[in-house]
Amino acid sequence: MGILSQKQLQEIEAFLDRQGLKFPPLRAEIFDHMIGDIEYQLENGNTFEQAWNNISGELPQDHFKQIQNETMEAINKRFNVTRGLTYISVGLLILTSAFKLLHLPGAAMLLVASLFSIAVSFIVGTVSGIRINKGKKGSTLLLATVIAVLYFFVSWTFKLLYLPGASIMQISSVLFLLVLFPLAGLSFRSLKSSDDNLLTYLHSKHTPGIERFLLIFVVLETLLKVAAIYFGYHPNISGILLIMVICAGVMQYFAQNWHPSQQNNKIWFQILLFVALAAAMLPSLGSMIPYPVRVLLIASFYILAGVIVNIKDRDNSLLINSLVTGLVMLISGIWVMVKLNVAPESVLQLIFNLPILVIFGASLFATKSGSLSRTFMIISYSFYLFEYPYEMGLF
Amino acid sequence: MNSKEYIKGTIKTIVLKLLSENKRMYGYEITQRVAELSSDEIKLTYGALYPILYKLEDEGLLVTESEIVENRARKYYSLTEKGNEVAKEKVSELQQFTEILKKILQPDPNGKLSLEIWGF
Repeated sequence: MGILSQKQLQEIEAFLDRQGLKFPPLRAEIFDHMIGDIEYQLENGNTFEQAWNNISGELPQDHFKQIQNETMEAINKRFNVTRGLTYISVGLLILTSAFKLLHLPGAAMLLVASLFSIAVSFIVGTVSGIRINKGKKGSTLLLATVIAVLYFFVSWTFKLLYLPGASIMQISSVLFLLVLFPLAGLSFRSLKSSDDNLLTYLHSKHTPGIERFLLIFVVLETLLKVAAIYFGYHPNISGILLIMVICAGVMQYFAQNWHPSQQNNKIWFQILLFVALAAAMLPSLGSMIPYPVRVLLIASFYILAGVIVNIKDRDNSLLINSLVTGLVMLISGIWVMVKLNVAPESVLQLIFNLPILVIFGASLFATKSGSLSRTFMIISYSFYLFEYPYEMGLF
Repeated sequence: MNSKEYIKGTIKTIVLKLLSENKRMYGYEITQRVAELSSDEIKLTYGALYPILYKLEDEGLLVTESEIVENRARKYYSLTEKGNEVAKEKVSELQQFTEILKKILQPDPNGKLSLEIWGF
């Protein structure tokens, strides 16, 4: 045991929280370093308060946030094949949207090329991550997760292209994810530090990039869907993009919960996460699940995921979290009542209109970058756009 | 001595050199060793050390492993094969550079003579 009390350790943790230090590997290192500095001063006759004042007093405001930014910049600066492929994917996506908006032929082919490029960059990034971080454990878990995620998206592509075997692929891919994600969460519970684990290390490292990528999708899907609503045509390609963002967002949401859940070590939270994951993933099986059950599962996800945001997210204020999750719960509550014929169809006009769309978009950007709340809003906003009936118009 | 303005470009080499002499080191240990070797003249701040460590790791010059010490995670850094080669290269370059600096900063013998003319 160290010489600092639990209360003193908590004080250091709270200080790092206030400093906005979130990147888990760096945070754990700075925590260890600060304890080393304090213990050195204690050995030289200072009290904890004196040592603490000496060390924290020397630090300029936002010092750790700046170190975090510099560190992220340093590790993300190098150009590599993965990054090149990611840029190509984004370029193809923008081109897809432009083709669709201008009604040029070939938009669907461009979309498939873009998704293929994303998949390749995902694989290349994983393999190079394993190669560079040879000292870290968990390459099997990382590979299993990557395969599960890719398999899920391949099964969706099969479904969208009406290829044979799509149904069986969808069932198996959802089951694969429903087993793997909780297993990963449970395995992290047994580790005190996940810094040695490749999956959580690479996930933390790439979280800003994943969010940027999802936001690019959000902008493109908004453009395409709003154009479809305004001109009143069927939004097929924006629908595909929206499904991709919702599914990728859901996976990102659960991966973001791996770190806090592993630190807290609480089984009830793991169960809550598992139920929310099941509520999010099972509806993707479509007609294999009865319609009312599917609708109820979707609404349950938004309620459960909203509750988890309010419990876990410390990056945004309680007010912001309550407002954004409250908005989502309200909209999904009204939506589910209409879908189950509890409320008349006309009620949809109350929730699907330009002012609510703008409020939803603003809520997304009211949450802080990299937070659980931001990912929740990316999923919710995409779901809102997906469900927005294009025949309804903007006003 | 105000070492801050001179140290910036040399931290990478210092870290590589220390790691080439030690099997593995953690962040706090590196700062303590630098302070000890420089008789407390050089104090590496958090901001000076960690971005460099992550950059070196990302470049494949360092590998890391974590251990639980006193109930918290401690991350150790060690050199890769490539890191060892770069460490030798960088240390040699810095030594050459300090030799050049020495030559520049040495008092000019001709200047001294000219002052002697005036009785100094």
